[in-house]
Amino acid sequence: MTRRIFHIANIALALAFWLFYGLECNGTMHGIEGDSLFLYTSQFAREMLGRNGGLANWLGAFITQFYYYPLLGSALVGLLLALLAEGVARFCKSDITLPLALLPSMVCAILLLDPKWTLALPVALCLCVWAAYAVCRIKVLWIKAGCAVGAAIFAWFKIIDCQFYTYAVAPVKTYYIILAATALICVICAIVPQLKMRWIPSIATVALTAVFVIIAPGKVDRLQEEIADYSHLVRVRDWDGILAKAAGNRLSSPLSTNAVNLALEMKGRLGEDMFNYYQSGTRSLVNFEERKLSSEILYLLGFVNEARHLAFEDMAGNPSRDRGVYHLTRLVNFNAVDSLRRPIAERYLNTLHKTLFYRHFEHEQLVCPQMEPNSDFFFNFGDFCQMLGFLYNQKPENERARDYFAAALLLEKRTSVFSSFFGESDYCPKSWKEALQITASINGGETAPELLEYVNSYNACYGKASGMGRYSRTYWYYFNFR
Amino acid sequence: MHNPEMKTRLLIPLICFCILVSCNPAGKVGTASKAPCIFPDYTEITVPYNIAPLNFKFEGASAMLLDIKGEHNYRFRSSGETMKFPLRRWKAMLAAEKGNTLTLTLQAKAEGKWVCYPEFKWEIRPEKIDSYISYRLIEPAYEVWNVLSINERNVETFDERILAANSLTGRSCMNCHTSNRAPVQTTFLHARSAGGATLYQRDGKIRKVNTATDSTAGAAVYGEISQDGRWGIFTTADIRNGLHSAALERFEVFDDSSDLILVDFENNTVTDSPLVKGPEFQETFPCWSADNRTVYFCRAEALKQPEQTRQMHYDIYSISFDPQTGELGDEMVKIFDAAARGKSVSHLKCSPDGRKLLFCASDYGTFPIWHIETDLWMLDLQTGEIDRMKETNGEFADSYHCWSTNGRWICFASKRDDRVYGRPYFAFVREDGTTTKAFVLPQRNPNFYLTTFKSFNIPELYDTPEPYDARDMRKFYFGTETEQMTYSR
Repeated sequence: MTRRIFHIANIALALAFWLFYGLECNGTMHGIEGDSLFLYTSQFAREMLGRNGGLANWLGAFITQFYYYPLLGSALVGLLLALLAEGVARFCKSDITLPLALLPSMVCAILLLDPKWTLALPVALCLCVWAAYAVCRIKVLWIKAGCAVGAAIFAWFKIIDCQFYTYAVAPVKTYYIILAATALICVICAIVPQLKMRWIPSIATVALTAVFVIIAPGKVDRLQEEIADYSHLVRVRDWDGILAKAAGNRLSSPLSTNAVNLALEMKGRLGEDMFNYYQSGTRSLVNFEERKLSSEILYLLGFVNEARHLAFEDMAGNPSRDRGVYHLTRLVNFNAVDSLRRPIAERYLNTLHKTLFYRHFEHEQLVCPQMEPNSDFFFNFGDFCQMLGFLYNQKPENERARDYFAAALLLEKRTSVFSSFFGESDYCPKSWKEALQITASINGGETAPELLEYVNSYNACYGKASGMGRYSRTYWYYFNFR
Repeated sequence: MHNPEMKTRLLIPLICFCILVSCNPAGKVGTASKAPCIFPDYTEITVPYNIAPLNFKFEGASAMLLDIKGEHNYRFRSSGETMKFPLRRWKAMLAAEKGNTLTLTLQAKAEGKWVCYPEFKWEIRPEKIDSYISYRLIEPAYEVWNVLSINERNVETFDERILAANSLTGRSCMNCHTSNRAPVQTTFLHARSAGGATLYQRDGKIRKVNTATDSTAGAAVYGEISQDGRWGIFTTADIRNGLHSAALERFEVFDDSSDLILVDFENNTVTDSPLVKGPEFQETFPCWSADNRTVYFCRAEALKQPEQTRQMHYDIYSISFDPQTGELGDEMVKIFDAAARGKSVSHLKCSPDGRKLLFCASDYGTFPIWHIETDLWMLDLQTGEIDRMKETNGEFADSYHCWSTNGRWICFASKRDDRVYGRPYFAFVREDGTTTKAFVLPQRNPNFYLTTFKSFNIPELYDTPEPYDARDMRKFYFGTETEQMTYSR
């Protein structure tokens, strides 16, 4: 009976993880998948397996590639966790210890909600537990001893010493505590004899499962998930998806605003709708600390050299991460803009074609060489507005550069400079009109007739506690209150 | 036939026969009018007799047959698209054909048909190339790096080992592994960041020295060590960088200031000369003449940077040096006016016979690897004539060159294949000083260059393997006391 309840609980946990991880954390899963690379080549396998912890890393990378489809990826991880719990349960002589068998997989599940932990962790645990179980099943003592020594040496070099964390400073202590605790659980399970406590193990199993289901969702970093989700939508160029997600939702991070502004621009609505969302200076347009998203923005604006710079440095500069498919796809796109860079794009493309889900990847054509600066200047990451000005001056036909330059001037509240550039423009969306009205009012000029009633109403409300809310989506409100 | 042993006996010869048949053209063989497009491009090249097998790939081939005609005839087969020569047969072939020109005929099977390609030639030179090459393997990023290592490769085989790895030295940057190629070899490399210094090796003994003093602009950067291992001539520079925006440019590295320093490794002193320091001019990339009595270096008027980086044109100067007194001369001579040709020079390397100076020529500035137009040029120090080395240079940046010990080979990093990733190329220097078509360092798997994400940086030839490896280097890096140099007037 208890074993049956254990199996049901194990399956329920796997299913819960599958659905929760696959549906609630799909942005994060796409991010992890983008940072990983699994090639179907013998050279890749040799290289991976040759390193310390290679087997766990290789299998971890193999499963991670399926995060491309989050529900498929999370199903495989759920299966892996169930396999781990089943492996530990095999050591149980007594039903009383069965609930303990769920603990390692529960801990792994909770840790995996933090994207810095890799799948090498559950893979390593699973391999070790099942290897130990297999060794225990050997009947002949000297063969058992020999296999135990061999397996321990192999496990130490090729499994345990794996890359379980993708960050410069890994929590090594935590990792070894998890390993030791799992080993201890296996030992306890193996030595505790059968006791007559019919209902206690079943109740404990159910209680443990319930506690896990309650605790786990709280471990998800919602802000990180929001950013990851927007980043993924930018990556797949789903501009409508970004705007649909942003509609009616508060943007919690400037990075989310970056994605929304980019989507607005790609739909030709930046000047019209950008102040429908919370804006805060030019960091609402781009944040260079986040290299992936900013490289996308720079690329789509026509700053292809700078985009390549950020994408390449993001790939090469992380001390604990190998190159991932996301970087490779970006570098293909960024290098394929002009014919002279094609050989290097081909190089990355050849690598992508050895993966499972990118074997038919081809570069996109969202940017043409005519959008790039033709006269050289050194890019200053500290003054994005000026850089946009340089680009717009050189390429006035680059509409994205024009809109971003205008947006940067508005966000920096440089309305007089804005007017000097765009005062005579035929194209004049809502936020531009509002900005031009501000300049006009400062300089004593005339207000556009279509804005007259609106301006008077705004001026009547200005400074009063009530009523201003209806103007929160205007440039005037941003200009005066943000 | 029910005897399994009998079955095996019959099966093995049958399989061998099938393999042989599949690797041999049977029936009609077509002919191609163009040379085979093999990777790496090993057609019409000049190679030393002690080079490792020139394994290559012919994309799309399911089988290959290579006939080589020299004093003897040789035949190599492959059952796929890569031709890998067995090391022992390869060595025997080159030893037997030393000084000869080999004619190669490649037949390849693709889509079920055998095609015979026009023959090409390999000239096997009896002049040896140095047995070892070191290079830094690094992702060709702009400012940041992840994992880098300085490796030593035996050019006669495919054996490679790591001399220094930043994963063992706190992720610090390491660069400029350089040899003086003297009978008693002296080498150095710089390890940066905390705990870093110049690691100086002579006769198996390694020292860790800090060349930065209060009276000089900083630690040693680019430079060379004299044949006797005592003197080092180096640049000290305040190095900055900037990112280009125009379509075909990439990155710019420039010096806000740069001077030369002379390091005495015997007495642990650093000195300089008013002629090669000061804010009016920038001096960099010094090298010794073959007799170590002259220092060649690059010099340009110091302009405001980055605003005037494009106007920075470095010329070549020389200044005498007295090894007895350790003093630089009182006069310097301009020996090549690069600015007059609209060029800027860098990375000077004097030939072992003292007759030639090999350097990089770019359109401007002082960091040639980021300049796609960079070519190697050779200056005849006796006649002043320039050889633009058209046969050797590639389409994109050729730089970081060095000479072999006997002066008959040069090695350099070239980005000719894809503009971004540098690969070590070799070229032969003929009697008349001209150079041949370059060929890339062979790899066991010819696909290696197409799949690696590492760039080969600063290839350096030498004949004696380094006496240390990465673990020793780690001990020196963390466990050895740094010797502090003092400034001497």
